Amino acid sequence: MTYNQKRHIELLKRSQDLKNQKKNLFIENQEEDFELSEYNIAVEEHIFWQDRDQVALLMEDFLNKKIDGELFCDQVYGLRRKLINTCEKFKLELISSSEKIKDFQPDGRSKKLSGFLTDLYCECEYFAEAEDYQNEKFYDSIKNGFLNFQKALNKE
Amino acid sequence: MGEGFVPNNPNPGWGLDRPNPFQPPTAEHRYPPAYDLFFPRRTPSCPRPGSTLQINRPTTTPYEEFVGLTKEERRALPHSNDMKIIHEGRPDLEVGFYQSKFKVGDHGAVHDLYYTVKANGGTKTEKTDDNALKMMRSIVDMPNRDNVRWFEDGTYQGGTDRGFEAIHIYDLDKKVIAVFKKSTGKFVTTCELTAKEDAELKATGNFGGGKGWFSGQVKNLPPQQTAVNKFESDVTGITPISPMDENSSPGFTPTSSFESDVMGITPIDNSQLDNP
Repeated sequence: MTYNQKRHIELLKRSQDLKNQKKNLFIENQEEDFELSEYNIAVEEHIFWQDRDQVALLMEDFLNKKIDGELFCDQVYGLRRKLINTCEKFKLELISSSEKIKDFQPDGRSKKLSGFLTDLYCECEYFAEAEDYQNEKFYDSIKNGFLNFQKALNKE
Repeated sequence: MGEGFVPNNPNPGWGLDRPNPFQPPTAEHRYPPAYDLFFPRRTPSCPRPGSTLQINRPTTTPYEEFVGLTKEERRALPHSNDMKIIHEGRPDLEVGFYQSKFKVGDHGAVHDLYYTVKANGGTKTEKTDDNALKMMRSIVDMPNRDNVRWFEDGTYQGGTDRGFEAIHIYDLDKKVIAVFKKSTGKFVTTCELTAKEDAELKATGNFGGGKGWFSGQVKNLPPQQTAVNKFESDVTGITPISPMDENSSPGFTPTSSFESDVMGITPIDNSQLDNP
């Protein structure tokens, strides 16, 4: 998918117009909604990519046992919330045709971490939920995820 | 907004399994921290998120049976405040009080409950009965919202060994999902989806997991991939990026100025990560 900022803005405005009429793009036109999703995902992955060092540090802190599982998960929820909020602000900037993001192009490398935060979030949800998911298992899983994270970053 | 939420963290970490005779559990800072070098603080059992939820034994459940239940099973016990979702042409669903109270702390904000913003950017809603009931009412009312889609043949964490068939109620405008276990009709969780999760849900009916980043989620993973050795040597054995010490940096390209330049957000530093 090639990111097209002009088209992204067009679809965002269309989606907003429908929202104002209490309608939704997914219900009105699934093809356009899919196209909009692609652009939104590109922005989201770009923003997450920008946060990758923060994610790595957080995992390092947990793996080095500086923070426990509960605090780690709390930080992951915070990262996720921050990502959602930042994406929303970015979309508002797009709609208002802000000069600051004129000619924005997502970083091509950001695809490397696609889906990472969702998987990390699910790990934390499961850790909080399931009694049989003990600290050791959770630790191993995060360690495994951290290795995969590093591998992805090092991939050309 | 409130700031500086300080979680009471009674778990100092792993390996601290010797009792500290100078450190009564009720007086965390009574003695200088130096004492902990010789007599580390001890947590009697490792607390987990939600472990403080008070669940009463229903009169219909015998004591022996009750004490043998896991925390998950206890959260599924009936309560007089449980609510039902009865919507024409849809399966009946149940929003349990205990599960809702368990979830409201982290997820109450997406149901417009009062919340505080923590230093890490996350939200926190007080885990009170009242808030649990408000969130339950919001979930029960979801089918009546303007643009809602049901996923009756959905999955939750599909493609993982913990995945299950699910029914999702999804608010397309707010991107808020309520997940129910299909086999029981009981409420499991609720949250706001990211753009990627939103697209996946619409395309496949699945929410979460299955990308294989973490060993805890992968189905039939060969044992050697989950084997635990020393973390540092495992890391350095692959592609060393950073030494695992206190002053380490991630070792790859640091965060660019995108957020500060474009979004006006200053990325948090290490000290914030250590002390949310």
